[in-house]
Amino acid sequence: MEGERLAAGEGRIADPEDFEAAFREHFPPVYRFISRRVGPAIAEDLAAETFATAYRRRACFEPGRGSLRSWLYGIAANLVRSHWRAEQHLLALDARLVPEVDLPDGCDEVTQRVTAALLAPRLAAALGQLTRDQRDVLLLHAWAGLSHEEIAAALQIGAGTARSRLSRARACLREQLGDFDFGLWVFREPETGRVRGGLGRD
Amino acid sequence: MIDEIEVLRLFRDEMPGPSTDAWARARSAVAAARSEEEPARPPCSWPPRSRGPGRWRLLSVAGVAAAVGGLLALVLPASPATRAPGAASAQRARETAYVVSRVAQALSVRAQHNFVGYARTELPPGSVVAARAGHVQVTPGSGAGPRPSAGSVVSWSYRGTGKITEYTATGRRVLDEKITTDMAGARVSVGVSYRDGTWWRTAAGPPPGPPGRTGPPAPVRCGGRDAAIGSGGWAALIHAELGCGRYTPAGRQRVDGVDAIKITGRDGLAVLWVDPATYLPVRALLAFAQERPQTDFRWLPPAQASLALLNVPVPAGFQQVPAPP
Repeated sequence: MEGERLAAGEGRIADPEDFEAAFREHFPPVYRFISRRVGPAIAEDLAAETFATAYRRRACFEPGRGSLRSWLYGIAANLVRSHWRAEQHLLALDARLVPEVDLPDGCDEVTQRVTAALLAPRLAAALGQLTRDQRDVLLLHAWAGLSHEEIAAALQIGAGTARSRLSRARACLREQLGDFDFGLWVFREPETGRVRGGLGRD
Repeated sequence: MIDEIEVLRLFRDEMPGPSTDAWARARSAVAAARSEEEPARPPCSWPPRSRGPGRWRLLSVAGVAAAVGGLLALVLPASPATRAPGAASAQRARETAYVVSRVAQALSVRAQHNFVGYARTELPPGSVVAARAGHVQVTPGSGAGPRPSAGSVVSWSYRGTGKITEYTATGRRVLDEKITTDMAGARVSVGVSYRDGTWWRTAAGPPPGPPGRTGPPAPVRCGGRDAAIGSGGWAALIHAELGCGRYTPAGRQRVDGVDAIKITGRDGLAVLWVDPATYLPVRALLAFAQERPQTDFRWLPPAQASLALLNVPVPAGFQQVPAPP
């Protein structure tokens, strides 16, 4: 895995040509990560600033301390943090959403997406209640796909701290989705356990 | 078993990937960072804390002070006794980054919603203007090819719609091309050739690939010997060119009644003058030909009268033909 990353150009960005290759590879996912958090209007500025900062400080990147990916997401997360109010506003809007969804036929993937749309207001509400630290860790894990170690490197915290923050954030999320049955992919009534609404896969 | 992380992964998953403008913006930012390279870098933290999010939109007081100081330094010659060479170089790098980024911001796709862009380019003899798929190619002073020489080109642009008109040296209109690109990248062009009484229409869908999974756009060709004017007009062209990072402020000059900031480049644009109040271009000298063709710009409010200038009506009796390749 490490060998693959290095072969793909990870770990060498001091040279402008290597930086260009890294930019082309990592800009789209980093942009999307930021855009999902604060919306596309702000994401354009922050994504540009992420890579400008990375360029200025490229000599400081040490492959031995973590992957290039985690380093870039660390810069992005730092920038997003100063847009807390914008992020909270977007989450508050999503939390008020009442999605209207036409149920499609068959296809698990489609069903999951539709259910995810139904869950969106609750997910937004749950994310809105997390602390900045918990949200950073959770979204770096879920949206950026970083491991505990990569999150620790990105946020300059210990791996244990990353693990415990992630655990607390996940617990908060589960609590918000308490009546959702992940196995059956349906909502259940808390008292009776009866399926209500949702999109059962029976 | 699916868990809360899997569900969270689907949340806002429809968010699209970076637009062409986002790519160009990031390239401009990196190019600005490249131009501000300093001999002594600040100490490392890992990962680095950024300089703050609002750098492109809301400059800090210190940044503004530095930039104003830099611009003053352009106008007022520095005293060698009071300025160390390293400090002067760093100051110059900062003012380059500041000015270039402000111009790029003034010409971004979002900013193009605020004005109707007008540009007129006087072409040297032997220049060729040709309608292509999705753009009009202007090759100044080439003197090659079977097409008659063009005298000037006028372009209008507003929010993804551009109109390019070619005139002969005697001022006769010979070509109109209107190009519209929507947010997804789908493109419609309507062209009218007054030379032979023909017109054409083309439509092309957006580039393939689902939202958020699109690859990077083709790299901007820095420099070159011609200009491809598309739906974004000169605003898009200059915005892309600035991303090449070869431009440096070079003092002030009075141009067309404006005490403009002069920016020099090696390729593409030899000189660009921008209004210090808006950072919008006032004039440019193109580096495409020895004659350095001149382009003058106007930026108008999007009023009904100026928007009407973007229309390309097809005269009665003109014959529809296949679009040029």
